[in-house]
Amino acid sequence: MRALSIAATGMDAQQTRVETISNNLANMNTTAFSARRAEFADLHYQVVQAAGASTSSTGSVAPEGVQMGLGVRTATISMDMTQGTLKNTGGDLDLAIEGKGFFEITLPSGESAYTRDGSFKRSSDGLIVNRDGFSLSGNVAIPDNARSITINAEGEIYAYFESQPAGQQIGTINLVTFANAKGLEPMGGNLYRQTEASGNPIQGQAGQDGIGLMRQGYLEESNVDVVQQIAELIEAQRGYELNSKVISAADQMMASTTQIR
Amino acid sequence: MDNIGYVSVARQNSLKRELDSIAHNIANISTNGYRREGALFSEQVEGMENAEDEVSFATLSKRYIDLTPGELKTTGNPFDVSIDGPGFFRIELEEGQGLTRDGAFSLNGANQLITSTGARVLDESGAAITIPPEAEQIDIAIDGAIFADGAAVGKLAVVDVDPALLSRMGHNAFNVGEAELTKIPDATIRQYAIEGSNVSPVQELARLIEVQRTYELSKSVTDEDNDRIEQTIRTLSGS
Repeated sequence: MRALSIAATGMDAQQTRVETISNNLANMNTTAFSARRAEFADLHYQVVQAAGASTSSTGSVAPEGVQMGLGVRTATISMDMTQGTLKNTGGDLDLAIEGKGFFEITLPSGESAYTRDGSFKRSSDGLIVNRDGFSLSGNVAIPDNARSITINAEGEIYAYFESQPAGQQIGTINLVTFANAKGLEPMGGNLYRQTEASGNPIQGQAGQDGIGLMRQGYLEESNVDVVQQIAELIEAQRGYELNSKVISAADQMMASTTQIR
Repeated sequence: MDNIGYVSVARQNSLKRELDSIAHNIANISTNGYRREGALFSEQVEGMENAEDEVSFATLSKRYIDLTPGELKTTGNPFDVSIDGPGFFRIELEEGQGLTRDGAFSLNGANQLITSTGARVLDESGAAITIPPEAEQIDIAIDGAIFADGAAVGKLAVVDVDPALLSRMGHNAFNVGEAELTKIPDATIRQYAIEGSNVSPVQELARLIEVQRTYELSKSVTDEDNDRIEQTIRTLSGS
């Protein structure tokens, strides 16, 4: 009786879906979080009778075969890369990317990680760091005596000093893009790591070559659509129930088989 | 030779197979572009040894692929596309020409359009479709033409094939071998929408109940037959 194991793969798939949805809902207030979507594919088929099998000695063949499906599997959990809403915070190191692109963060190991979470802080030695204290690549130091800084849409940082009306450019925040941003591997902490699937990072300046613009004083909210998630949750729950119905039907049929006199 | 037992066993066997097919449909209720399968039974007639009578067994002879379209679900992803109407997208398979209705596409590291299981999506000439990495805006027109920032970069092929030649591959794909594909020139492509599975929960549940009850019925035929034989033996032995 394959029905039992087939329905089990179905329950497994619906469970994966519920887990994905719960992760999305848990992160609905996480800065720049990308909603995930579980996608499924049918498992391979077992050929019981091949199409074209001969049915007589005169050369007639079965026009169609019998292929038994074996259930479902999770194909991918893909990231939804649509833009989240920008929220005004007023922080001078709060940056949001409007459009494509990622900030490049240097991890303590020297490795690069990528993020869209632009809630940066100043470290004790003036470097721009993320909330975990990892520095933004480019190593721009903000002078201690700077009165204020502004970051324009192209990512150029200007510092303003006492008694100098004109700002002075102290560096540029470059962004990176990927051929396939969905292929990035989430590391937690709002960071992503490059993979074979994502391709190599392409460095560039905000506002050029299809890279988005930088917005100072804003943060990107998560792009989780709560209503849609709840609707999917209901769907997944019913799908789960339906699969368990198959299991109980198969169970009852097996039980009645064992009772044949 | 007593056939009743064997006839009902044959029936029970095919019902189990039908249950497997229902289970497979229900398992794939959330699979993009999945086409449900139905089971058809046929009568297999066997001549009896010395009589003119014949006895017929039911066997599962064929499973058909139900090609009714599934529901369209809108999403915000520009690479989510669906075919509104008949036809399939062409994809690359090692085993032969591949077709799919699952339009949840994305890009691979080489900027080529791929399906959710990683197969490359093909254009009308059978080549992979490459999207320029610097493209900001992707538009897919109603006829399947893909535009990156307004410049045409390829066209999704929408083809049809004799349904009898569709062979399921898993991975949401059908393998059609070397079969001749016909282009559907007036196919309607919807961007920002994916087609769900065409499995109807109500229909499958109804089938499930039917299979379950028929199985019980067939089992009770076996039981009744058993009683009959038992009674015959008892009567003839005079006990």
